Amino acid sequence: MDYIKLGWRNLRRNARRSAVTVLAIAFGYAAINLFSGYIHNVYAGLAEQSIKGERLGHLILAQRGAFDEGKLEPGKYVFSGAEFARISALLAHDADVELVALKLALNGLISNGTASTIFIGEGLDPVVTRRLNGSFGRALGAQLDPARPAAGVVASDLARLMKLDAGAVAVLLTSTLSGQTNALDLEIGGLFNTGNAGTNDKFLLLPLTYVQRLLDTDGGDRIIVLLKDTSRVETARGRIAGALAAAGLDLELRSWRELSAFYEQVKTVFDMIFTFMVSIVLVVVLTSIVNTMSMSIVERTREIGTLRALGMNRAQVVTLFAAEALLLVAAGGLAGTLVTLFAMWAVNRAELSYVPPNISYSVFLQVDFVPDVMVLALLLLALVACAAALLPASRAARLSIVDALGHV
Amino acid sequence: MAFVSLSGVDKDYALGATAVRALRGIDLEIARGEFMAVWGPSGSGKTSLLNLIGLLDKPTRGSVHLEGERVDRLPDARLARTRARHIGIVFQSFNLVPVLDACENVMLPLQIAGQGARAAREIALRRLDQVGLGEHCARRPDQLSGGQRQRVAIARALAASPGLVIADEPTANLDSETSLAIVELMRELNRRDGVTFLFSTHDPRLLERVDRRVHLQDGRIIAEPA
Ligand SMILES: Nc1ncnc2c1ncn2[C@@H]1O[C@H](COP(=O)(O)OP(=O)(O)O)[C@@H](O)[C@H]1O
Ligand SMILES: [Mg+2]
Repeated sequence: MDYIKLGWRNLRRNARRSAVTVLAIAFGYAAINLFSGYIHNVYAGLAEQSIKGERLGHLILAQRGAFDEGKLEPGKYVFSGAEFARISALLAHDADVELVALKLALNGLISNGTASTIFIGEGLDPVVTRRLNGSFGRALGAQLDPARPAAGVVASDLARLMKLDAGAVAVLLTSTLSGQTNALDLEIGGLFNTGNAGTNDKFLLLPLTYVQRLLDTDGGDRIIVLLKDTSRVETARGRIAGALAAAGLDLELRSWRELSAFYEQVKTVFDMIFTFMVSIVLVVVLTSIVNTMSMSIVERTREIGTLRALGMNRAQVVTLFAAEALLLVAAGGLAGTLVTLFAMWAVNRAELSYVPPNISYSVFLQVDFVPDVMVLALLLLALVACAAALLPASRAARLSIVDALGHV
Repeated sequence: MAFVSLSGVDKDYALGATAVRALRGIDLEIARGEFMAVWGPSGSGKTSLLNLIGLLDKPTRGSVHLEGERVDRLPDARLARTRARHIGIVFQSFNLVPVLDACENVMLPLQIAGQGARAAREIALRRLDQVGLGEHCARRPDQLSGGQRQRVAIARALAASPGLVIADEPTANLDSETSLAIVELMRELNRRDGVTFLFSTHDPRLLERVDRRVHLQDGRIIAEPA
């Protein structure tokens, strides 16, 4: 039976009504695609910002207990230089690993000679920092200089508060890992933007050797593992955990997502908005298809009776109208794809920029092309369309043939 | 064995709280190849009887047999298959599908029964030829006259080569000349292919052309004076 042909002819016969339904589907579908493309871009941007911009890396290693208790007894949870060398050698062979780096965090007071305020900071090898920051480094501002082992870079808001500029000298005051108070001069190598409004007024990025001198240690408190491919975090994590355990190392291993509360918050909120939007679109599509199909079925009751008299069974009648609903979705999906591609092109070309909440620099509003979501959304719409056709069609199919033909 | 047989058939319709008794105690046997008409005044039960024989409706009491098989209790899907194979139906107001052309309308019963489009189209063209509309394959119903539409409907009823064609007042919406031509056409198809035809009418001129008449009055069959 040529359900598609019959459905298509009937849709064309009621061209205006069909067009309205197709447009409703098209715009709903495009809205889903565009929003999912936008949040996809935001998620990717936030991930990059956490992994590279904030130098979290993909996987973070610490001594067992350090994530929860590290602040209380910092001396207890450091990796010595020798331990780091051993772990680094162990992970260097892994195919997914791009880079292994030792990090040492600190906090204390920074003074410009007349005033002082609190700071948080981290020490990293200047060369490694550049590789870790990748393309982010230059975009954020000044970077650590391998030729100047006593020079650090200051978050721009902190620099403004303390009137610190490149070339100035500040003093950092903190306690060593064993609890002694210690102070060191710091040359200001330049300013940079942490990218995070929460840290841009208190952050210092320092050479590892400088921080080690200040804290009186030859080690660090975290080992950062940067992978070649962000999508392989979970695979690599399992393998690396296995390798460490096999080497008799009892360490804690976390992924960047576990340590980036901000990413999770944003994702939760956006996912919720997205779910809400998809629900609304589905309801709109459902009602407009139910409406179109009900009208069509009422108008064609006698035709249904005729087809049944010619030998069609109930299931075939339902199939006929389901095919019609699917055609509506196919046409709406095609039109919606065109709308999506055009709007995506226009938005991405317009290069609209804005400052997202809790981010300390402006970003471009970009919409990614996410075919997985587009295919999934179309399947969902097709499912909804079938359900929408099923209700009125099965009612019509249950009608007795004599009633459907109309008593003469 | 009769091709179709009804025994002790009653048909009641619920009308509000009361029941309308449309058919009472019908016993009827139809043999293969008959050319017969049901006649009687309006409201006498012609449509009700034809609907039962055409398997479009079920009797309130009594039984309907087709080729010896009891068919009045079959489930919907079996009933639909039996209709598709054995019965062709012609309606008073033609009931062609408006979005399909003449050929596609004639192809419908074949495609419903699962035939491929190409084979169905060949048969449809032959059937349209038989009813004199071989040239009108691509015309939509609204491009055809009333008589032509009913010819297409007859071609459609014959498409799947059923043993029996039922036609409820097939000429009621046609002028008398066209009506005669339609009955002549049915007669010819009956003679040549042996298809059983059963139609209802109250046009006396058409009744002259049948082999057998069934006279209905108040839901009962009245004996015909020979
Ligand atoms: N669906 C129905 N509901 C109620 N009464 C009906 C229905 N169909 C037929 N009738 C009644 O049954 C009787 C026979 O009708 P019908 O078979 O249509 O006769 P005819 O075709 O000879 O005019 C009439 O009294 C008619 O009003
Ligand atoms: Mg009638």
